[in-house]
Amino acid sequence: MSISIMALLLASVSFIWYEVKMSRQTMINELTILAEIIGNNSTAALTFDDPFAAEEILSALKYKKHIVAAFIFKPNNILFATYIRQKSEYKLPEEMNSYNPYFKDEFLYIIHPIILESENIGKVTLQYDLLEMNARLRQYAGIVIIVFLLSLLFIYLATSVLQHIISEPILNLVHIAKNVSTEKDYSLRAKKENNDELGLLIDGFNEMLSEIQARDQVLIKDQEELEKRVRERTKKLQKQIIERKRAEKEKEKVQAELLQAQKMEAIGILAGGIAHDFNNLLTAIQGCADVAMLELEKSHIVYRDLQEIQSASGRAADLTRQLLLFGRKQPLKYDLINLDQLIENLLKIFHRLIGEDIGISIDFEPDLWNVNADRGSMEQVIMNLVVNARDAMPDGGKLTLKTENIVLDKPAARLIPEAKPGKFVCFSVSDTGMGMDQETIRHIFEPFFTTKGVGKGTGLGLSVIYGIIQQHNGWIHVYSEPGQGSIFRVYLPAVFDKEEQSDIEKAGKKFPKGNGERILIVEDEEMVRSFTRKALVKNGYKVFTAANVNEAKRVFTSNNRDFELLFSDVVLPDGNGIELVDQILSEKPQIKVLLASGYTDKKSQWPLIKKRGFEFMQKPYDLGDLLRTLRGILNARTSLKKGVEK
Amino acid sequence: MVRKVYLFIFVVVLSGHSLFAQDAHAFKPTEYQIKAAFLYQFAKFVQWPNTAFADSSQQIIIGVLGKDPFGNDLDNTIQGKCIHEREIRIKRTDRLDNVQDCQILFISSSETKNLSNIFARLRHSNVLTVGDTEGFSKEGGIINFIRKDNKIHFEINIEAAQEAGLRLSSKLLNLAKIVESNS
Repeated sequence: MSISIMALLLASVSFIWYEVKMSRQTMINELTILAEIIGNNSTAALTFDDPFAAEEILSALKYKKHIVAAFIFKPNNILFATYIRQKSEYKLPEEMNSYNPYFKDEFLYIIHPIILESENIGKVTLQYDLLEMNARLRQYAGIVIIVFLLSLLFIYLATSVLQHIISEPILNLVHIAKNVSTEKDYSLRAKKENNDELGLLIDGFNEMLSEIQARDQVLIKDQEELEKRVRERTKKLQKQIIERKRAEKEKEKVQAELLQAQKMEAIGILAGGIAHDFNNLLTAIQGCADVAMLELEKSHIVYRDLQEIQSASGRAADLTRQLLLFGRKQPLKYDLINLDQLIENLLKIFHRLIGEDIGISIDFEPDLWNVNADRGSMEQVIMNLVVNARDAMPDGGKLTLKTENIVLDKPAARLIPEAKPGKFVCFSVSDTGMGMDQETIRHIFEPFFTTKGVGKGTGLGLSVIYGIIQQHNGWIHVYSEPGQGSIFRVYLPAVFDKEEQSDIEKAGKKFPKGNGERILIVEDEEMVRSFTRKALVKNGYKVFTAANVNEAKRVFTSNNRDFELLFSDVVLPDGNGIELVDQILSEKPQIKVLLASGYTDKKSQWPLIKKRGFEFMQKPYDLGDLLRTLRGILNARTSLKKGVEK
Repeated sequence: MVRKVYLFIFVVVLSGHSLFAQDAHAFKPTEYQIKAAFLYQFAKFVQWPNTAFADSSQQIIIGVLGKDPFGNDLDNTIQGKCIHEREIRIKRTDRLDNVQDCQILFISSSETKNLSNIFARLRHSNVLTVGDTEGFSKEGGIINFIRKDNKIHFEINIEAAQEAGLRLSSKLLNLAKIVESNS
């Protein structure tokens, strides 16, 4: 509507302005023509200097009501003729030298030259009263204003009618659309007033709303269903993720353990290899020392030195055995052992192993019973427990080693899991360290369980101990509380055998000797071979030697198979001892067999040896061991297929 | 300054006198100076038939017949002027035979007695005859100077002009006193 008013206003103003301009131009043209006529008619009057004639011409202007005054001038602006209608109103033109018409004070002034024969002979001026024109223009303006106002009224009426017909329903529609979009309420409906195009539009709009509403409901339902499914799936996924994480953690742990085990395996192989060579060397050293000592009187000057060599090589042999125990592949060798003695022997190592800030106290049972046990394994058990105790006390403390004789009756045995009634030797290792909680205690004997962090400990120590103790028909009991230290008690069944521990020095004189039995020794290691040959020859045996399988076979046949015993190393450069034994046995089934090996791993083929029932000696062996074992085998009526286990 | 000019003009107008009259006091022209000017100006209000001129470039010849009363005034008036793009030349003569090629012929008062003879000769000859003799137009002359209110006016014999084949401007006729021939 404002645009309509503006346009109308503009049109009216333009109209008036145009009218004024046109009126003025028309007036100017009209008056210029009049001035031309007057001038033309006045030429003769001017030429023949007859002002009365000129004034007579001018007097014709009386019929032009609005011409207030008119003058005719001669050249040099000398007034020649005058016409004045109303004296009070007239004025002479201000500017005489230009012929431009001009408006001033409600008057129009026309100045026009008078030309005769192209000679300017004067000018005529007209003063025109604009009252009439202005009155007419005012009249025009009035009409225009009335038309304008009427148009305005018409526009107003038209727009209000149109608003009612068009704008109102559209605005209503817009309002509804706005409400729908802001409130998301698709149940709103626009009101329909007429059956025209707008009515159709509103119908369409309402229909659209209905469809949206219906679709929304479906969507909401679908969305709820979807959300439900997502929730369920998320729950499942979370569960899966947790499980996967746990599995990954486990996998990591297993991998670390595997790595550790592989490392242990590698170290075991390395240690085994070294131990084998060491065992061969030690067998020779020990054997030679033994043989030398047999030759000498005790008072001889080198006898003590040989004794020293013997005891040092004995300790070295123990060391290699411990090295082999690392992987627990060595067959257990049971002996009657006094744990007090065993621990006593280990004390030196403990002092070196344990720092100065940890005090060791010993509490031994004076008359401790013996146990039937593998020395190396026992040493390993004790060492391990001591090292664990040390690790539990990083800030120092007190370590106590205790041995005692225990008798358990049935009710007492029932209180301890795994315990059996009977007589037992118990040794315990206690510390004043950080202690453990029940959960840790429950797991400590599991393989690879460790509290020391990956790479620090093997996690095998306690599990190996557990296995060893079980193999010895004993058990291990742990008591600990966090911050209160721990105590490990190992129970082993007591053995009451009168036989005492063999002492090399004492046993030396009692070695059972041979009676000229023929023995074939197969040993690739030169030192071991020569020591063994020497030792056996000295003790009444007839000895033949071979360095490998082929040589052994040759020696065997070249001597008419006349041998009572075959003593062979298991691992030979061109084959293995067991195969050799089999071949010899196939030719001479009654021959007796003794196998020896320094290896503790696959190469020693311990399980096969055990299965076949061959006699076996672990390297390094000393002279006593060798002579006793040989005597035992030779004395036996039937040696084949008889178990070696005690 | 402008106001003063207005005031002066206003006073002049109220006094009822023409500026010319005022002017006359300052540079009062002689009677024959005015008549010489008029003689020349008449040409502007007269239309000659084409046959009055031999060709378009021909001069307008103002002849003076008889005793010349203008002296140098007529020569001064026409000095360097043209009418209808024709030069003006003055031809003074006593002989009637010599005036046939004149367009305007001033007949001096010295020829008064011979007027009827002259007009008889010049009838239909396309010559505008001008004189300043009493009864000149009544005799048959076309324009005759007269004195009225101490000013030079003229009277015109329209019939004579028509007989000479000349057309006089109505503007000229408006200024003149119209007379008719006697007969």
